[in-house]
Amino acid sequence: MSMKHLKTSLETSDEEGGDIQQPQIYAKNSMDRFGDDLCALLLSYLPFKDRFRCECVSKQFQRTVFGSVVHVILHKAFISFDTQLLATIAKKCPNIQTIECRVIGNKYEELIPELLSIFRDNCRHLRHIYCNLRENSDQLCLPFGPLVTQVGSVSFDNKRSLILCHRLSHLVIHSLYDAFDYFPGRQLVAKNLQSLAFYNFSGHSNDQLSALVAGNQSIRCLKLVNRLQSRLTPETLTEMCGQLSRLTQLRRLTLELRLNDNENSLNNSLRTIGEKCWRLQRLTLELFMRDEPLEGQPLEGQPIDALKYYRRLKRLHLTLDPVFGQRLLEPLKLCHRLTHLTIWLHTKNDKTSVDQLLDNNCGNYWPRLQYLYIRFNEFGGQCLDHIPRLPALQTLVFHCRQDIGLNDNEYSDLLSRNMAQQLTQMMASLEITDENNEDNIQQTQSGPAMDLHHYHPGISSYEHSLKTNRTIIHN
Amino acid sequence: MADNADHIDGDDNEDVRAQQNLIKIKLKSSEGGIYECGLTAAKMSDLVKNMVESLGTDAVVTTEPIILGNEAVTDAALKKIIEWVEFHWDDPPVDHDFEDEKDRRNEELSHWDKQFIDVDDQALLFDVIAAANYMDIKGLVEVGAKHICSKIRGKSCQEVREMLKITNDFTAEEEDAIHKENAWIYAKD
Repeated sequence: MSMKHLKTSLETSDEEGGDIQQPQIYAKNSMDRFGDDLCALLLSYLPFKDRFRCECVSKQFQRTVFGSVVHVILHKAFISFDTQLLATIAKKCPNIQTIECRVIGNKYEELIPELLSIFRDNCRHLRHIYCNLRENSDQLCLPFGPLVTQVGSVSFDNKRSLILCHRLSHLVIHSLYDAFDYFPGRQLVAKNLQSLAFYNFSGHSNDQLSALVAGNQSIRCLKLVNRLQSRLTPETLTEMCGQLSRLTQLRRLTLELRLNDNENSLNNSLRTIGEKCWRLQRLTLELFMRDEPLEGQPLEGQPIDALKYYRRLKRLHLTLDPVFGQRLLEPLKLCHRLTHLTIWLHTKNDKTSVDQLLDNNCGNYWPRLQYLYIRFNEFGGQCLDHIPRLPALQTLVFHCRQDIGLNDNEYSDLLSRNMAQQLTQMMASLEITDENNEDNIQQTQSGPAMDLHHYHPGISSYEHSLKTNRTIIHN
Repeated sequence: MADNADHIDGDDNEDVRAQQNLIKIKLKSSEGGIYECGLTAAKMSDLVKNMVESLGTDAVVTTEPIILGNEAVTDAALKKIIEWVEFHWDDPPVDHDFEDEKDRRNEELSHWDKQFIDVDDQALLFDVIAAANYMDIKGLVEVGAKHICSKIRGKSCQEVREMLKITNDFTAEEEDAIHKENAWIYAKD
């Protein structure tokens, strides 16, 4: 079973002065030919367990397979290991920088400090610990607080431990109160964060929001969710967005809001943020105005007209509930830098909105758009007409809900007549454009027909990646 | 309208890249074969990029072939590499604000890349990887690495050795000891 060690007489460089002596010459089809540095680079894409499985392939594998382990996830399997075994694992991976403890499960949380100490003693590059502070957080934070950089959840009793985490940069909290000590003086315990998410923003905490913003001017990424039971009034919304607009470092913002019907306050609030947070590049906006789909007329006016103040956006994800009326997507046409656009519509006549959005000028609105995802109730073929005009588009996904009122046969018929045909033309058009290097897409009718492989009828969404000539069907 | 004008900066740059790719330069393999490649595409190789830039004017570049002396740069490997860079030169630039190094590492290869790298002739595959490494084309080395790792995943040591023609330089005792040390990976979670 021992492998033959093949040798070949490869020529070295044929250039003058290229008298490079190779210490040993290996078969060209053997991975032995690679030096340790390349071997290490190639093996750096292996999952954690597979590295151990491969350790005894060869001495070169043993030397090179562990060096690139920088991130370790603590699984509950580790709990059953004895100290010796964990120390052996830690020693093999001396370059570990980050340990993720948030997925280990509540009941094992108390064992985390013990596991961490083994890694700390063996991995001198350990710099980041990601954890939750739910049980006995002092046990964790007294020794390891300076290493804790991300916290995924904090219980009421443990929030004071945050003070021990001086290097904390990412924090997820349930409500604003979790960022403040309860006694004395309600001091802010999380400062200089880069990323913050809170999931239960209510309208009563604007004083604290103000303090939080003042102590965290460094925030680049913010997620704010307000739950159903605490619908924001126009006043609190205005106040809240006024505070958020002081975060001038913001790059990413996610707002998931339940609102009372008031277009003006929404519009003005969004405008404030758009004008002040000029570094913002990625916006996720989920707006829910009412619980039930509206029976009567949708709101007239332009509730999200303020998006025209977000012209630097590269990525936008919009989710809108049924109250919004037509032409509401018009302001997106001014966001010329968009590379990724995702729209989830649950509006009446959403087909019309999309048709209006994807008009014959869309290539000028979005010259860089690579990724377009549209999810809607009603599907019509018209919106496809102009998609070939988007010059940079690589991935297109249409996602229709099942209840679009078509049976499988009708639907597959629609797909095959409209989409497949359209996409075939689009593929062809891109080929022609690439070759001639010009923007004329009109001449597509006679382009070569492409084979749309993996095409299945009766599905609810259809993804076509132009660059990779790949078609994916989602259920 | 001013509205349009001030928001499309940077597209010029993309136009320049497209224009430059119309300029063809010559690359010479270690076996002596000379192949044409678009300038922007060829510059995906940091090695070529540095050579072109040190030569200065484009006029020189288009007449004299750039010599790639490493033995892995065979005719066949160079042809594959040119195919890859000519497909990928107009990829959108990596957006460091969003794309995490970790996410990119975990991302699956595209359908095109999978087909491109799935080469039956393993000597050619390794030539392409070694040549891409020599030419410093990071994206292509990554494609090769992901391909090899996807083949290794879940296989036993012996299977990996047979597949990649790797010599086992451990003694039976050494191999046994390592197996024992790593027995934990076979335990159920």
